[in-house]
Amino acid sequence: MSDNGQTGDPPVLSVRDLTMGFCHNSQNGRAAPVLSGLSLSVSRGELVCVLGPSGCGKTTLLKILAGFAAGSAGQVLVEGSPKAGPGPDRCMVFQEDALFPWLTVGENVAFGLTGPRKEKRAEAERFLSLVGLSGFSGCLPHEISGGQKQRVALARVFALSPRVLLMDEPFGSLDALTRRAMWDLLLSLWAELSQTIVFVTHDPVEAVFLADRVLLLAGGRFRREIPVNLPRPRSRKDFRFFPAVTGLEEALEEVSREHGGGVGEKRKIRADDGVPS
Amino acid sequence: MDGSTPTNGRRRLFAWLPWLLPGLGLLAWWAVTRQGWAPPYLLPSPGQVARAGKVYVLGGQGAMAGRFLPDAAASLSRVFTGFFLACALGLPLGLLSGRLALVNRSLSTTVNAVRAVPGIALLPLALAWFGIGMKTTVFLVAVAAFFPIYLNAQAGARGAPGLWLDSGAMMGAGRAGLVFRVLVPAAMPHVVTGLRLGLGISWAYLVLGELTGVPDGLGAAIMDARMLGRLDLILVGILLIAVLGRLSDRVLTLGLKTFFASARRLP
Repeated sequence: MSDNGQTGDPPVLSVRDLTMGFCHNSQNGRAAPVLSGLSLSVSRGELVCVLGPSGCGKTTLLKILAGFAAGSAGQVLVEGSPKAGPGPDRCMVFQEDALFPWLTVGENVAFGLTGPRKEKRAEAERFLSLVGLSGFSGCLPHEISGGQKQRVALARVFALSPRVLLMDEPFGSLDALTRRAMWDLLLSLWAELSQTIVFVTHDPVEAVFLADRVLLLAGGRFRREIPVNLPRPRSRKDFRFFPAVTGLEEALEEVSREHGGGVGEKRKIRADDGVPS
Repeated sequence: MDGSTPTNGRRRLFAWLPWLLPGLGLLAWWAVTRQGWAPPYLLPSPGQVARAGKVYVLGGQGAMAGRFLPDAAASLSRVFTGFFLACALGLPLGLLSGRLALVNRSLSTTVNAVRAVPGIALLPLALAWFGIGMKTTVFLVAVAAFFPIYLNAQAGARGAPGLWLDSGAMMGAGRAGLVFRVLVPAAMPHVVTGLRLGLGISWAYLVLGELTGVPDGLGAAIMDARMLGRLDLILVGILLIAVLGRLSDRVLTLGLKTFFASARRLP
């Protein structure tokens, strides 16, 4: 599972020397590179977590992978062919609620489907029941809870069976209990539909619970790759679970110290530079 | 019963509430004329206006008898032609300028300059270009209704969350799909506001266009009544415009709600 795609099957997703020029900071007029020469390779069926302090460029990376933004240099390849612009082969689950409020839950899931209306509806219904929301098809998004909305968001991307599923801290705004239920749901869908997933988070517990391997992003580059070798299904009660989390936390602290978190971190360090010690 | 479920009495009150103000106004009007506080040649009584209205609408003996239907038909066709032209131009241009800086940059100065010109100032020009009648009125209506429609469509398109557009593109919507399945629904609350304001203004400019010696139309009827010194008929015209304006607003909102889920399902 922790095969990084260098051998065997060609990687489903690969990124070569990705650089995202500069992030202009309107407050101080300074510019800082967000991503510099980043490379990544994800093989079929893998669940990779990208972990990093806030401001390290995680979301920027996902946006480029999804095609919502373009890097200033480098390439994004899906199954060997270079990609520019968004498409249903790379779908994203956002942290924010991104459902269309004027469509019912069922219509939201059916949005990207093609074919006769009846088939689309049946397909949407099928994926809604996979995420535990059968019977909610006719509801409007504002009538359901935040956790249910993210379930719909999962259903609408899984329904498109993208080559790569991109997840941008999708459960970040949910309460702890709902969040754990979403982890279980995601893992069961991932196993059932053998989906390839890139999951961005800043939570080491989430990373250890979900990932085959964790990539630590700091200062615009992956600084370390840490495989998570705990057997599945994983349990937080496993005596190896929290040591793995602690190990990840320490590694994260270390790379953040060495390379800075990102734009925000660096500015803080600069501000501290002037303080006499 | 808690406050969230309206009781029967509450619901009945809500059904009648819109008529409270007109009812009170009518009562006050009746009282003023009854007491003789205002002379009849300045304020005719409700009864007199009702009689004049009956003759105007249904026909009978007297000036302008039975003219209502042809007048209303003429006015409605002018309002809707002008309003339709304003929509046909204002909606696409507004949506485009809300999304594309190039379009906005090319249009905004001109649009806002023309917007600053009062419609009345365009009347002499329109009379010279189009003569008296249908064309002048439609022109004035179209120009006046264009601005609220354009500006609101622009605001709606500009405010459409990038998250929704990204989501649509990610799920495979092409350029046209993004416009019609994401951008327009996202901008719909603003678009509805713009259309309603535009339709309201259309009625205002209709009367302006019809005050200039047009043979038919509700505005013309008011003007003719003034020539005859018939204040009761002027009031009939004003009230009928109010009723038709309100009705057309209802038809517009109901139509939008019928054909667009995004207008129907606003949270």
